[in-house]
Amino acid sequence: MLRFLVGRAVLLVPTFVGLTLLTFVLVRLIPGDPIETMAGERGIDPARHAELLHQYGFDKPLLVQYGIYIGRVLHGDLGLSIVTQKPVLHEFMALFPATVELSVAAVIFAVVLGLTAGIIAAVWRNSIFDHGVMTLSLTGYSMPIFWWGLLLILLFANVVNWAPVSGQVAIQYYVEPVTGFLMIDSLLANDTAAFRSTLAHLVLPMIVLGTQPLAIIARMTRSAMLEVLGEDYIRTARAKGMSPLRVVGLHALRNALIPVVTVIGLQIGVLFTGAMLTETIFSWPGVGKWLVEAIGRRDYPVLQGGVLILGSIVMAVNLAVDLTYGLVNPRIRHAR
Amino acid sequence: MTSLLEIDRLSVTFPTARGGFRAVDDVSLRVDEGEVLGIVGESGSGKSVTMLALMGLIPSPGEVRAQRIAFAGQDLARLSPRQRRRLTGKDVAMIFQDPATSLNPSFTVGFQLAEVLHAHEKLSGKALRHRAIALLEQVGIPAPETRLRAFPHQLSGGMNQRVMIAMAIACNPRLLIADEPTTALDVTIQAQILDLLLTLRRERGMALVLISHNMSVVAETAQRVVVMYAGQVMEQRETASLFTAQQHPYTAALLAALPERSAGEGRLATIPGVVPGQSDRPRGCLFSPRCSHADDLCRAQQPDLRELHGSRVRCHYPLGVAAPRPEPASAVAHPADRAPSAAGEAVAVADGLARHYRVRQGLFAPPAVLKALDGVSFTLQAARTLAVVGESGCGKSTLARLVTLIDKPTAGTLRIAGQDAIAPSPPVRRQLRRAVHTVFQNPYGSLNPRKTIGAIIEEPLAVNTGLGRVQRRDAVREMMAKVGLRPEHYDRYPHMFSGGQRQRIAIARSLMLRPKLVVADEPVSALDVSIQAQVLNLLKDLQQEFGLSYLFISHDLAVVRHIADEILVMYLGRGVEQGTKERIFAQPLHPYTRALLAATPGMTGNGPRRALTGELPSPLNPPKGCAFSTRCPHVAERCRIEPPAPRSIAGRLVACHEAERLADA
Repeated sequence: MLRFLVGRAVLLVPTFVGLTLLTFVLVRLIPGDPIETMAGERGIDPARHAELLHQYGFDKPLLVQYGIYIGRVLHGDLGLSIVTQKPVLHEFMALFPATVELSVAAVIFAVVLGLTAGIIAAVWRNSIFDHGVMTLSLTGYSMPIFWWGLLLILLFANVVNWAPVSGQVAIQYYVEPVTGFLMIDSLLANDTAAFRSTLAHLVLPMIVLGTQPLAIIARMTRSAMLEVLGEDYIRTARAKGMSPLRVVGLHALRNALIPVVTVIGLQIGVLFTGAMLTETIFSWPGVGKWLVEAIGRRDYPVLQGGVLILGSIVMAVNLAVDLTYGLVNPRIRHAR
Repeated sequence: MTSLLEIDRLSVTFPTARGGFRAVDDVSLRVDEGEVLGIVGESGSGKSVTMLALMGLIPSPGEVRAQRIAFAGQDLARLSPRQRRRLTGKDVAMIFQDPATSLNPSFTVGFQLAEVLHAHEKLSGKALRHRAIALLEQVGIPAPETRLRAFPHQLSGGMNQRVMIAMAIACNPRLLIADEPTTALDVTIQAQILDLLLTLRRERGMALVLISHNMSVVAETAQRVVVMYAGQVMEQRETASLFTAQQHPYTAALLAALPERSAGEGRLATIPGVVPGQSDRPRGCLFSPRCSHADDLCRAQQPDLRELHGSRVRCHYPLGVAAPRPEPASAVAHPADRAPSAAGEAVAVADGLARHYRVRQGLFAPPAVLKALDGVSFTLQAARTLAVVGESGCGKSTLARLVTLIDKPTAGTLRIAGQDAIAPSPPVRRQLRRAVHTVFQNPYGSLNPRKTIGAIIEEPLAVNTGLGRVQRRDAVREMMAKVGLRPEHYDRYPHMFSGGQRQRIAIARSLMLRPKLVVADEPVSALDVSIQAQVLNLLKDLQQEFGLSYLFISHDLAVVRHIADEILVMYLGRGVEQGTKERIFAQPLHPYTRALLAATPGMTGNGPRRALTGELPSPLNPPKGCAFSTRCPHVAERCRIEPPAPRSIAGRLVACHEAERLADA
């Protein structure tokens, strides 16, 4: 187990280097530069342009810029946003809780519904429910996030009025930030009205962001359960006189979870991508929206820093998922 | 005596695209209190499905119909699912074929055992723990307290089967159903498990239903035997008269196909064809297409099961007690005597072959050395068969990997067809690749399901020769005819063939380059006895035709006695006894060889079978002296200290300090 851990940790290093290189190069492939973008339609005097580029160090050779960047990253310095002149890390930390709130809600939504639907579909194989779930999940998986989000906004803004379609909380509430998580802070402030407002605002973005993972988890759970339900040890459990609920919910699910956990882990990366679109559509004040805006402004430090942090988080989550294998699968736990 | 279980006219039908498939067809049987009933038949005969129907375990589209299934006077059809569950696992318990897959890999042995006691006897806490430990002790698991926390993958197959048995007997069932309980186990462990089942039955007075394809196992264990075929009961009789007075031609044919009942030389009697499936069920007697006695009546009208001399038989023309056995149609055509081979040419010579693996034990611990093979020597002559025998883990398959050049030895020399096979030059390597070929154990896993059998068989030609497509196709069709496949099936896929036919495909593939040596790794152990006989006959015929040498790896001594010329008995990576078949079977010297023979049902007459105690020690931590000393009944002081070297005694090599004493005794 220790060997496995160390091996995985060592692998993180080249992944990390690749990640920095990728973000660094990719943001510079976008045509234009931050100075030009800030100047906008007014245009800028070429001499002043060159002076500002020099001031930010953007005139140095790329390799040198990369070296400086890496040096700073290793010291924990992600630089200042060109637009706001605030440290990237501070901006990120201020916005990240909102993204976490949304992502966690989406994961819970996807896992709870996905597991349930997948299990029932497997147990009632070829039933109407099974076919319904599989058709819906294929639809959900194929639906582009922005399209799905826009459809829901259309529905909820114009036809029914069950949930708000924009922002994280209604405008009349002010919650003193303590943890940064609006939902928790509103509870800490004992402001139930604000808390309910945050809940209501969460519903639509959560559904939109959770739909693709939900579809994948449902399909994965179904196929894993189908395979496990045909195993000899399920027959043994039935032969022991165990109730159907126990056979499915304990003996089968415990084994079917192994591939499902992998998929859930892989969804975390997908989730951050989805968060960019979802946050933009629903004006959700998180890092996704922040990054999309930074692309428009060619805010290199924000893009580099934001993607780097998100990438590191995805790597950490995947490592954690690998470790949970040991929890769900004793054969891995004891393997040398 | 009262009947504990009565099954009256049970049918199980599975709906398929082409209509219902009757897996069990009008089966009636009873089991008396405390009785041992054996159910035998080839795969597809419906023996397991019958018992699964009794347990209420037929999966959902399957339809169970019965006039009556009564257990202890209670009609099971009238019970609610909840009441039925209270019965299964408590009063009727079942154990299955493969203990490795029948236990849930995600839960500890203790958890799985406790679950039964909790569900049926509402035990919990300390009482439950004590019961669980007592049960594991009863089924012969050493150190039961620590084993409760073990996961199934940490235990051996034999130990897992003991755990299954402990679970089954946890609530003192009145009927225990054992579905091929020893098929996946080594022969020595098989003997231990059968003994355990019989002891438990005696102590607890429970009835036992033993499902097996192994007639010898059933004959040694059961009081009454039911022979099933294609979902029907064909014959039902006392075991005592099974071998002498069987009345159904199918029973007679099954018995005749047993290698342990053949004289040891010549061809085995076979049953042509396979058990009919859904599409080829005949109109009349289901066995008629394969029966050597069938006439027009048999083909037109299905016989009923009727009483005859105290037993029951489903046949229009039951074999009378004095009637001759069915003529094995194919047994005459080929001369049994071996054509004298090209005198004494050695095809493979191994000297001190060893394969050690370094096994990492932890991040900082030094690697341990696992001696999978530790100094094995043999000489295999042209057109002869060397059988390698031993329990799983003895190094048989490692030896096969070395001889087939898949793996390299860490010490020793190996010459094949006169060439050095350990570090051959590239051209020699190519020659050797053509000279040695393999037939694997599992004909279902060893053929690529996406290729036609023509493509599978011709692959060696395409890779190793410059033959054109047409020439290859002709060569393949010729070979298919030789191994008993229809050449017009060239374009079919493996899933359209039965196990025996697939093994013929594998054999045909191995012979395409006209090898000198074929390594056959348990080639018949996955096959039914009638099919096994066909494949063994084929191997013998091909040996004569092509002058092949076989390195025949097997755990089944009955098969080995039938096919081998020379025998190498292995234990924990070393040869313990080595010599001609005649010598070794006439007078086995090494205590391990004796134990193997004693554990094989049907090999030693009807004498008491002595099970070898214990299991194979870990090869990572072998005993200091003789490797077998931990299990040997003749162990002496010296054996525990000094490993014995192989010596020549009574015409064979034996590695045992006590061999002389045993030879004289």
